[in-house]
Amino acid sequence: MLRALLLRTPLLVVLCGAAGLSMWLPAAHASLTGDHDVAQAFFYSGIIVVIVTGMVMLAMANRRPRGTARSQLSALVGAYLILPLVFALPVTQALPDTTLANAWFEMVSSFTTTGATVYDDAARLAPSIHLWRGLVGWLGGLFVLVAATAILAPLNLGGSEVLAGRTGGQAAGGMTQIARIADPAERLLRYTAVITPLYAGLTLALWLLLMIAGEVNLVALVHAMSTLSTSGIGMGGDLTVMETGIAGEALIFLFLLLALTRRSLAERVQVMGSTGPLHQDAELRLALALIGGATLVLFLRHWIGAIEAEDAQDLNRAFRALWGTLFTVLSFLTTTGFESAEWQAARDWSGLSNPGLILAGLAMFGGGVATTAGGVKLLRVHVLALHGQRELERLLHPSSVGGGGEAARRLRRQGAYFAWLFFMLFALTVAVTTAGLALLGLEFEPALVLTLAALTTTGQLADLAATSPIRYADLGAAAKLVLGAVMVLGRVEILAVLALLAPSSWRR
Amino acid sequence: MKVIICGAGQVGWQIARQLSGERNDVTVVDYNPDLVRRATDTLDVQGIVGFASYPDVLDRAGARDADLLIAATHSDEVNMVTCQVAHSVFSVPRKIARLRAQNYLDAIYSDLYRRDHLPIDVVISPEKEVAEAALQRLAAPATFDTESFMLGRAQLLGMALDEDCPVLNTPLRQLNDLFPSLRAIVVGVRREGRLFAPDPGDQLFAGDQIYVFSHSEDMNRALEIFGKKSKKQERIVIVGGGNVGLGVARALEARTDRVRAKVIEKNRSVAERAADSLERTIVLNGDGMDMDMLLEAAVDRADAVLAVTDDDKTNLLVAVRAKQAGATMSIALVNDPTLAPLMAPLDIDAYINPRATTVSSILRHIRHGRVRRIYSIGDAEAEVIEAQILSTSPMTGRQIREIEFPEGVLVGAVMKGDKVLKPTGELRLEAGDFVAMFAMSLDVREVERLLQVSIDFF
Repeated sequence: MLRALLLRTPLLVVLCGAAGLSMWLPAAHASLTGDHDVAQAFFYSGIIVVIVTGMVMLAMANRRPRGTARSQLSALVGAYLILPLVFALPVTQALPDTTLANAWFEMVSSFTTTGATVYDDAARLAPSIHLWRGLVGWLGGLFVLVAATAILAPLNLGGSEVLAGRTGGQAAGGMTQIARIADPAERLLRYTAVITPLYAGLTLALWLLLMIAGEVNLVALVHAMSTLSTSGIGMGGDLTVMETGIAGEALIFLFLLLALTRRSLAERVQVMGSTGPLHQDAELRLALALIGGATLVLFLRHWIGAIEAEDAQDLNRAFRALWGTLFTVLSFLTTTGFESAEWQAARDWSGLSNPGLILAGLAMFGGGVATTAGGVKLLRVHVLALHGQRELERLLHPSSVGGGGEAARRLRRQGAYFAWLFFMLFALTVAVTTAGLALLGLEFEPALVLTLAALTTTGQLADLAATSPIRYADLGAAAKLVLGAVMVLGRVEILAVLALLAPSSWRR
Repeated sequence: MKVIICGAGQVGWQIARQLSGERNDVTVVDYNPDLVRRATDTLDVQGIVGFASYPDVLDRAGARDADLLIAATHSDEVNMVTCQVAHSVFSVPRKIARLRAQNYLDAIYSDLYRRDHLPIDVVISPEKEVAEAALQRLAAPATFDTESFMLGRAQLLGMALDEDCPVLNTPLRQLNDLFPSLRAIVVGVRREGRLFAPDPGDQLFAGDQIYVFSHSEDMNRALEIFGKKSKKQERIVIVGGGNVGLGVARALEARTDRVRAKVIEKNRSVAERAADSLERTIVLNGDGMDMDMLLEAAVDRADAVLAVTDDDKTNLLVAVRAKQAGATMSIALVNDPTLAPLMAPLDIDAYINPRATTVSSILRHIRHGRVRRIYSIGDAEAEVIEAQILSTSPMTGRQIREIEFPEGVLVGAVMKGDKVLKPTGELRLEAGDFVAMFAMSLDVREVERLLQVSIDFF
């Protein structure tokens, strides 16, 4: 009954309903902590959203769903346009002194797992609102995971165009023997049912582990949620709010590793071919090389600085600097954006400032495809590197044939082509957005850093990548609007948006 | 003996030729009438047109009273099924199948070919053996023919003597006195196109091609005495990436010394397959006859060029071309044995005859007695037979000088236990010893008689 109803209702309406229901969690939290104003705001917003959604559902009850994969894609993009407004509703109620634009920006940034916040004064928000931000980020992560497998992969988007070597935005050609193709809604429902318990279970595990390590209840939950969703939303600017220090960070580090490869979730949700042992996984190996390389370079730089400052003997501080570097590198590679509490320790140790731009570079690499991470994605980088290596070989031996099997060859040819296409679109978007922000009156460096932060869904870059931290709150409404749009672009990937806008989809 | 050969392609035809030449009752089965006609027209064999694995076709071919079935069609699977049918329906006592795919040949699955599973008594894979032959040629670059015997402890080396050879015009008897510790013996000489087994009084002349049976440890010394230097090869170009070329390249990759091999293959998909299964070797896609392609493979600096495509003429021309471009050595795969005399005028250093290797491996299982290895020399002019001496053999317990060997037979080496000895007149042969004999084709029957077990053995 419920299943049939869910299958018949458009995806967007179902999502709105889920958003409304989720508002009651912070409502419950607020009423338990005695913050009745906030509780009321969330509770009534939830009721309004649920009732309106229910009415829309009733109105559309007799609708026969067309159920093309493309309509799912438009629902996916539509979700990023509409849901942040729904999410912003309780925020505007609970925070009377905020504008709708700010609330909307905050929610776009949370839902796209960017984690950029206009409220840099953490104390200004009630704990329940922090919970709400974390929850929206967590839901955004879940939505991305499900969408990547159920909506984007069948359409050859979101990284699977690289593996399949077929043009994105088009489903595989039908075969005459196949009489019935699974309805996209069914697929979505099935993958949601598979992924949600895993995702929620991992979050619960991290939450419990953090609490066992001695973390405050709410802080542990918010951080667990934003770790799994790689949103990096915290109770404050960095992880200094955590009481558990390095132990807590180590737990988060462990769960951040999940965002490096799509294979961290169960094998049965893998629609994209993934075979071979885990240690041979291209994305994982590339990620480990990047993490190792970046950590080593950053650490050595500090170490040499410390020698000059005659402080190299202090093993404790050296270790803390190393840990801070390692954690922050992984955190930005997965586009989470947590800043280790020890990141500053490195600076104190050597007296050198931290090069934030390297973090922007790492965020551009991004995590694995079909994970919650943003950016160009490791798979595409890997494929481009493979292609480059092969081209070098061809310089020496123009007629040589590359080995590695049929799949590897396809990766190097069509795969590399699509990866390159994506990379170019990415670069173009960076250029256009930077220019746009500059037009709105920003300096070049902030404009570039903010663009990268939005496009790679790593909002915290604004704090670390520029020479001096950039405050989102200081931006004008127009700049916020642009950044919000770019966040959505970065989240659903530009190829998907282009596929939606392609003229072939206008035909009915 | 009644033999059925399934598949009248290159391998099938060569086996049929060899076996029919030995007065066996041979029937050839192939679904291609042209191939069957070629076999029946050129050889003394019967031909049946039909699909080899069909029971009724095998029945027509006389499988009910056949002693041996050789499945050598181009398909591994057909060969397997043919053996199964021959076993289950017709109870053919011995079945030989050719399997090419490496996956079927892996030693861990060899259990598969047991009588109650897939009843194949002997698995042969010509490509693999040709690849091994090619590697042997590479290992002894100064020779035009090599084959290992006695579990690799002895080598048959074929050498062409030139003016630099220090032992020309010396009776062979004196070689023993000059080099008493050398465990090598000249077993065959080809002079002016005629192969014969030399007498101790015979001398060697420039222009002779000789076959020397040598202990593996003395191989380099033997080569030196006959005026050949061995040099290590590092850059090898293989033209032809089919099963043979791929097998050679794989074996070269597996070697511990750093050999840099390049493979040139014309067919894109074959080249891709080769590239997939090789790691360090560079595979080039293009025509091996193309000079640009050869230069891209740096053939001018190559220590050896191996032409192993499926076309004899291409192989010859590529070998000549590579030699001309500056390659140190060239080796060609030649299916047609009548092309062999062209090697010297074309300045091709060595050739591989797949027929010799394949037929050798099949003959081993047909000969009487405990034959372990057979190598066919030249255009089936002579054979080197390695066999165990059974207690019932007329040779057992006698000194070599007492045994009445035919004129065209020479003993190359004797293996007692795991020691390989140089044959002398006083050496006494015991039951259980292995002996390697060079025998002219006409004398093979006599050698068989010497090796044969008498009826009371059973």
